[in-house]
Amino acid sequence: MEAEAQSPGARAAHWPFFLLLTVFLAAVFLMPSTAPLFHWLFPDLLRPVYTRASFFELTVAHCELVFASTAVAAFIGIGTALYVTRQSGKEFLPLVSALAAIGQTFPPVAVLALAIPLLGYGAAPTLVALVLYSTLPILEATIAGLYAVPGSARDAALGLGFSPAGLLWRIELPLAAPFIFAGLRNATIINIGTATIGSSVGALSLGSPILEGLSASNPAYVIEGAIVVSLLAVVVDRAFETLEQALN
Amino acid sequence: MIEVDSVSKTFGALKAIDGLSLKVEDGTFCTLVGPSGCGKSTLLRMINAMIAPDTGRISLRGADIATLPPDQLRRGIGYVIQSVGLFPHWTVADNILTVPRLLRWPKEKCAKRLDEIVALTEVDPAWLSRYPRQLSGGQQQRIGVARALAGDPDIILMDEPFSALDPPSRASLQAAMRRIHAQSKKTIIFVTHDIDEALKLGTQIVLLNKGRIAQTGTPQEILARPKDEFVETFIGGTAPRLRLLDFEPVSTRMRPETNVQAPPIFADASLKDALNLMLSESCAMLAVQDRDGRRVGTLTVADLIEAPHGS
Ligand SMILES: Nc1ncnc2c1ncn2[C@@H]1O[C@H](COP(=O)(O)OP(=O)(O)OP(=O)(O)O)[C@@H](O)[C@H]1O
Ligand SMILES: [Mg+2]
Repeated sequence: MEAEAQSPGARAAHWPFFLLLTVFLAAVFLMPSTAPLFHWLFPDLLRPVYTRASFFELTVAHCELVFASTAVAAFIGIGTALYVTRQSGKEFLPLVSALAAIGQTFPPVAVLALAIPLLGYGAAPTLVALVLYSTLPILEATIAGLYAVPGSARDAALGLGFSPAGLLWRIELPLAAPFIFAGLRNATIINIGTATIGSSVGALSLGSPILEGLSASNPAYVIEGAIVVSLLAVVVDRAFETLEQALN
Repeated sequence: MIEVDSVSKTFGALKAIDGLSLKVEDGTFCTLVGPSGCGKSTLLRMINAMIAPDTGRISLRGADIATLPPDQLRRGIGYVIQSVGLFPHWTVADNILTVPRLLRWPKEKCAKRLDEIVALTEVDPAWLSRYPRQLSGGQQQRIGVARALAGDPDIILMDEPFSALDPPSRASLQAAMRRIHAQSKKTIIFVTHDIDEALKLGTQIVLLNKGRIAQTGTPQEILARPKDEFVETFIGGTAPRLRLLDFEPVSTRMRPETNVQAPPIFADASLKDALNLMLSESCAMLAVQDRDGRRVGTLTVADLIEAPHGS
């Protein structure tokens, strides 16, 4: 999912952001007028364009899922990473690092399947699955970032009289920020892809046309959903990149 | 006064500091010298509570440092760490002003202090807006020294602060430290593995070996009376007898005769300068003058070897 979402992003990275944004918005708003095109591609289909919800509605719902889950994941991931790299939580570091590494090999569909008995259908199990899944890359990136802080800078900061909190806010976090930012970017892109699966448990998302297309043998729906999701991933990835450059 | 009282520190099986006691009076320029791994950095880092001793206590102006809040304590102690450790995401100016800002000095005071420090440590003002990675190792080390001095601390701990500097830069920073010490009477503890640097700067030399003090005293005491074979070997390469001539003025060895003609030397010049003048003038005798140019005595090469009777 991650590789699929990132490779077009990387290839199109030199496209100006606003051009990509325009293409994406055009896909969202002008999808109904592509009916003749899809009709020509799939002449047997009665309804060649997904109309149960507008693509704008789907995109908004999709973004809500992604934003909410990534925000919670960032909170948990960064918080946990900070805890296990402090004196008080040091003993949990090996355990947490191992969990983060192993957890990412666990398929998100399985997380979703496990969440349903607890949370029923709809947005709730989707959010839980997305949070669980995207916490791990943020956690891992934050730990890596804190480890990349030069020991001599940490040592000098303490030696010159920084408090532990001052050391964290003014030395460690700023130096780890590029790593943390990369982790957030990664997690967001993963979530944009993974959120489509939420539609299999009844959450509204850009996965809805894809899943309905699959079950009703309507390849046009699948293509439409996939195009908008990929463009969303590319646009967001490009936005992160632009922001990253602006911050440096 | 800094007082280290029977302090020990063990890392695993290694006794890095072994029951060490040391007193450093206020205003002392104390140089800590010894072979690599003898515990110099460890001892230094115990004085600003970066390392807690296993046993023993360290007190500063009578107060046990273990009872003081560590960040407050450290803001009042300048510290140059051995690995320099500039903050890579801060400009040189921000790095230098680290402690003044921790102490919440007002903006104007910080700006004024920055100018003073830049002049004092001979930092090129063009570096101020650069980032540490844009400076060479020696240039970074100079900024490390500037940063340690910026908060105007009474006590300065320096861990091999000049190790990466070329000889001219090193000499000029050594001179700057001496000037700072002479003007402000700060207490400086200066780690080096270079005995020559230790003798040149220190008013008190502490020679460390395997976590213990091999000998401590003034440079003259160490040079004239090495306590054991270790000290003797350690100072051996510095031509100690010749070196001692540095610390003694001509006036202590001259004889009162004033009638012989010879090249002139001032009475407060060092015996080493006198010897150097004899060698360069190819003569065995010098006419000693006071600062007003009045003839006050005569120095012969024999007096350099043995002090004349009655002087
Ligand atoms: N944190 C530590 N953990 C384990 N051993 C340590 C630690 N710090 C120092 N040591 C050991 O303690 C001894 C003294 O180290 P220290 O850094 O004080 O030496 P030093 O005199 O400063 O040497 P150098 O001139 O090489 O800087 C060394 O043998 C070193 O290996
Ligand atoms: Mg050392």
